[in-house]
Amino acid sequence: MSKLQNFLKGIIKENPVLVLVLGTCPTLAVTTQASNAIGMGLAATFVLLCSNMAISALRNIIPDKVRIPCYIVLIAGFVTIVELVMEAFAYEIYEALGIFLSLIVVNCIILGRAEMYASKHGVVDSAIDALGMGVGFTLTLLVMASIREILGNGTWFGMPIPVLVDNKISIMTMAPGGFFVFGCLIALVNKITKGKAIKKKEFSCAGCPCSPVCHKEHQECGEEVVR
Amino acid sequence: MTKLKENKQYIMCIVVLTAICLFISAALALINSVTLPVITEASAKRAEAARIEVLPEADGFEEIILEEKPETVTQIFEATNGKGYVIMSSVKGYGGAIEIICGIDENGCITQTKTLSHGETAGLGAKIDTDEFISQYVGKDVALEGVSTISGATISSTAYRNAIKEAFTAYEMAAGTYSGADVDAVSGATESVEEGE
Repeated sequence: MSKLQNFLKGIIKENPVLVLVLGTCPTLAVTTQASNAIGMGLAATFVLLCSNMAISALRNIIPDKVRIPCYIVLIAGFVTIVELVMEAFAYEIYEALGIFLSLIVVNCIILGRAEMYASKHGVVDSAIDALGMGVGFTLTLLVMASIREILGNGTWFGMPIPVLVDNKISIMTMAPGGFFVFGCLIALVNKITKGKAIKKKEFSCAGCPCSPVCHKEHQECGEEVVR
Repeated sequence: MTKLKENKQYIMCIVVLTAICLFISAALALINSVTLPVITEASAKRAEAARIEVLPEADGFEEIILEEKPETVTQIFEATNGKGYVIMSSVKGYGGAIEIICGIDENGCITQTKTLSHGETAGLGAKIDTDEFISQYVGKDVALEGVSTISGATISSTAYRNAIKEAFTAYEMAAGTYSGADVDAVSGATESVEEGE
């Protein structure tokens, strides 16, 4: 896989939110405003980049048995750094993201990429993978937030849009609207990729924290999930 | 031999995990030493700006420490030029604490109130942060006449009202006009508000 392909796969083919369906909680929660989506996307991308690089660099040192605690400590460290820096220099976004900023620690995209990719590939490849996934995550959040903000609040990045601002569909900014847009986007991506996107079994087993304990062959395990 | 290898593996686990934790702690301490002064300064500035916003006539503030104060009141500030008091409260709403700052002038009327932070439901309880809700408190005295609650958000708006009531109690305590009987009157009124809904 070339470096460009490695980067681009995160945007559609292996889009973390719409294809791998990871990180759904922050996706639904912060996509009520486009500006929040950008803030969340960039914060997660930064953490993802740092954690992927650190984990990839340490992949031969970290013993298999304690790798999850090691990853969590590294990720939590980077998240706290982002949090401190944001509180000091970007307070408005810090306020708007609220609890979801600290919850990047348990964002499945980051732990998932650490397990699935960074622990098996070199630093440069892992960094490119992180950037691709981060851009994919940010773009997805931006698209979702734009749809929800424009329809639900009649604004985009806080700018009022004529006509729509007087005809708000406020359910779009609430949880049901989030699920609705989420479902529509997944359907759209499935249509675009015509089912050629990564199959569940291709990532299910290696990404499972139990995989070293459960001695099944990866292929076998994946089939079981599909069945 | 295998036993020895196994033991070595366990020691490696402990060593690596500890080393990573120590390294991350050190990095965080370093970052914190850079950001902490910025954060403290910014939050002090925001608090000062919020106080000025609710009591614009004041030229500066001095914190008053009361021995006894209502439960929801967290801090009381007196304007240095005697134009009134600013009372900060934290009251339990529907979704956690609601932080309110309230300015009361020397005549005992509300100059402005402001919701600093809250965790109320978007679209319902979160309306306590709208101008429409807050503006009905402006100019009111201790009786809070004509202040209505938000339909569908009774808990949030009643909590807000109670916080303002207690802010008045704190105001009276600070100004020295407080008498014990007022407490009964206030809590009696609060109850009737709740019953009314």
